[in-house]
Amino acid sequence: MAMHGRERWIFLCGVLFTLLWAQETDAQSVMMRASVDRTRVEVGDLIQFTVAVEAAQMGSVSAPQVPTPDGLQLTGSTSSTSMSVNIVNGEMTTKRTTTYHFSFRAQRTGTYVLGPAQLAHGGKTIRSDQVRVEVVKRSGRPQTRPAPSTGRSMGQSEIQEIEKNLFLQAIPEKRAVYVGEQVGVTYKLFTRYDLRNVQYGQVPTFTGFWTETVFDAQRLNMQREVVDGRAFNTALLKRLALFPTTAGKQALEQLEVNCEIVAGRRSRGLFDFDPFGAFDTQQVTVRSGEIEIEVKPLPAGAPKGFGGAVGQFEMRAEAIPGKVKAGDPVAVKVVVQGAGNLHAINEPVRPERSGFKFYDPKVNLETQKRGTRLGGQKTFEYVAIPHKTGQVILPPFTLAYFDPAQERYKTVQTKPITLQVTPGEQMPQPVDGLIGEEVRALGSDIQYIKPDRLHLADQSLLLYQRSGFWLLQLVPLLGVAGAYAYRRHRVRLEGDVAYARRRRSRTEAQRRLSKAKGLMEAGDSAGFHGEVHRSLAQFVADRTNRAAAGLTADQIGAVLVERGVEAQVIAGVQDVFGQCDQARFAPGQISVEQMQELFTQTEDLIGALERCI
Amino acid sequence: MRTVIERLLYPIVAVAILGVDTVVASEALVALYNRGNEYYRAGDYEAAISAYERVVAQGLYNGEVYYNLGNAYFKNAQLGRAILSYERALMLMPDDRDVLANLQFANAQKVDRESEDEVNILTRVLQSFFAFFTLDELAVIVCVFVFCLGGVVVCWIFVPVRRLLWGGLVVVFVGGLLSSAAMLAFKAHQHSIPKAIILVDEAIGRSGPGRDFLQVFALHEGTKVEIERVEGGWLLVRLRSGLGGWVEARALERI
Repeated sequence: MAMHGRERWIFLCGVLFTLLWAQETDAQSVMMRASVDRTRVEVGDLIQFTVAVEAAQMGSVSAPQVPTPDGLQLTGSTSSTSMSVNIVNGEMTTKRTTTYHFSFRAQRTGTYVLGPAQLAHGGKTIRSDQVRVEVVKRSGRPQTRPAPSTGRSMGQSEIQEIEKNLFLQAIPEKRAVYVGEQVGVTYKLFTRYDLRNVQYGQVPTFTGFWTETVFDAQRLNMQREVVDGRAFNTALLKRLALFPTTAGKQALEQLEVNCEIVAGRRSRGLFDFDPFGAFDTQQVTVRSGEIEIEVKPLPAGAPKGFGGAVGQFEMRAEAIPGKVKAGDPVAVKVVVQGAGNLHAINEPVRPERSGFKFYDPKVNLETQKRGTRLGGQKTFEYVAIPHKTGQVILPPFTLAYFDPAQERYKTVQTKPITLQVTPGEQMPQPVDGLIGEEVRALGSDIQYIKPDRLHLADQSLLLYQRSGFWLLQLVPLLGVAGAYAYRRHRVRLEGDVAYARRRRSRTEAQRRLSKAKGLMEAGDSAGFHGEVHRSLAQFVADRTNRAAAGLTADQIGAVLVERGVEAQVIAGVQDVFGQCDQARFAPGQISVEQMQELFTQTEDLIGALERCI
Repeated sequence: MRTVIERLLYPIVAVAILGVDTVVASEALVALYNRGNEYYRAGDYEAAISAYERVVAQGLYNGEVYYNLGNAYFKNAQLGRAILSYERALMLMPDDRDVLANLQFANAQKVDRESEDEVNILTRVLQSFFAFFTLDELAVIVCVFVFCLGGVVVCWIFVPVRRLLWGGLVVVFVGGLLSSAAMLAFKAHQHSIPKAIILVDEAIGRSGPGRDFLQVFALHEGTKVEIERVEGGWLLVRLRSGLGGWVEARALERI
């Protein structure tokens, strides 16, 4: 191990002093001395076992062997060497001293013997003396111990002096609490020294407690405080909120802080010219005292629904929105607020038979610290679906808790919430009073029979199997054919005069005949015959596409013959023309019956002619 | 001309479009059916069966009668006949949920399991689309396309100038008509394949029409088969899996 700067100067000073005050030593002998820094330690402390080996010659002495007693643990060893030169009467002797430091950690109580350290030199085994060490139980009182690694030993009075001026206090709020009740513990450091490198050593785990840190110092914030008439610098290190989880006597473990005490500038005389090690420091470990807390079990007679909540709590509920459609969800927020361990608060008891279907809540926790008191609020957000419509009341939620201040159980309730539920589109039907559960099939069976009927239709033929269906498909076909024919007819009427006249002929003749009939009924014999003549002549002219004017009876006869009309019909036509001429020249002699007969004859003739021309 | 329309087309339109059935069961048959329902409600399933069977025997083919008959058979623990009746009801009322549900329920009770074919998603989509329309609905769709097509052609004849519009519509309607008619034809073909239900506890399928032929498979009550050939009291039936064999005709009954 390399020597620190300061140690090196001490070593050189030592060399110079040995040069000045020479001592006579046996040059050949090897001497060994053993010592410990303290003979009484507590479990967990370090014991420093030092073996100094003095030899006259250089480089020939091996390192001593130290047995490790059962119950101690060797944690490390270091060595340092010093040299002294003596000149007596012109004769120079040199002496080399090697110091070995062995660190042991005390693991169990008991009395241990350290050593003897042994080393082989020149065929002989050299033994050191033995040291008795007592390991005692760790005491609960606050302690200050110099750290052994610095190598500087400290007297008991010196330790007591330090303990008076530097200590760590654990201050519990109370010594007796109920399970789940908060007990606040504050750790405070008191010092009259200038401290450096303050660090936590062992940090307690607090078994048997639920721990919440209220305050944890990131750096020392010193304040002046007077204790027993003496002014101290105090620093708050930790503030914890502990919640005991089991009943019985619970011990709080000690908090350990390692720090260095700055002892101020040390005068070292003539040879002290260390430019860096301006201050002398002493490393010490400070422990808080052990605290015992009595945890009382919760009294009997817990109300129904009590889930371990201890403290003082309030509860409120709200529902958003206040007006919904049936089947739509409502957000119900239940807030538990107060002081106590909110982690231990279970869900409040939901109202039974509320007419709402609740889904599991979303839980949100906000902790707040007021001094050493831990509290806050825990929010349970439910989604609830109302089953009924109209003015619906959401019954209260309940929470049972134990109030340690009044030492009794209490129950808080939320206020009932009134909701307006309008009938929605899909109203879930509550089935036989079982609200809040989906309808489950209990068994399966076939569907029931069809009901009685007044009529039963024969369904043996499908649509496509019926002839009527296929006949129906002809309708558009006929429609198209008809439309096409009609269109053609219209086109021909416009372009083909002969066709147009032919198509018109029948209607024309009909029109004239009906006019003739009117004249007959009026008794106008001449007019009647004229009209009959014209209708027949015009019909023949239209059918053969000739001009009616100037078409004589003979010419008509010739045309009809040419068209191959039956002679009998031609004779009939000639007869009608003859009768008409006769009537025109001899009016008044024609009876109504004769006219009627002529009319019928003409109609028949037109019908006959239509078929053959 | 008008008289022709009145005498011929009106009744066709009435029958085909409105679905007015010309044949309606006599009051006596309806009363018999209702009496069957009464027996069923009273729990006398055998009496109900005989009532419904008499309705059927007198030539009334009605889905509700077959459905109720199927229920009566099912309650009377005659699974094969129940399935047969449901299948017959389904032919007449392909859309009816009660029939579909009970047929499925009855099919779940039978011994033979029909292996569901592993099909890809496209085939399944096509199948479900295909099954979406009943034969009657397809027939109506075909009919609508025919009328639309006729209407467009008539419009084209009278207003020949808008050639593009009419031409496009004709293409659309011809396409619709052809596809729906193809579907109708395919479905009608499937419909016309004779099918049967096994009614005995176990029917042995053989490699030929006779008891001397090798046994190929065994079918159990309620299983549906397609009939391919008939030969002297033996039927060549084919299962959905494609397996074929000859089964005695008295072991099954046509749907």
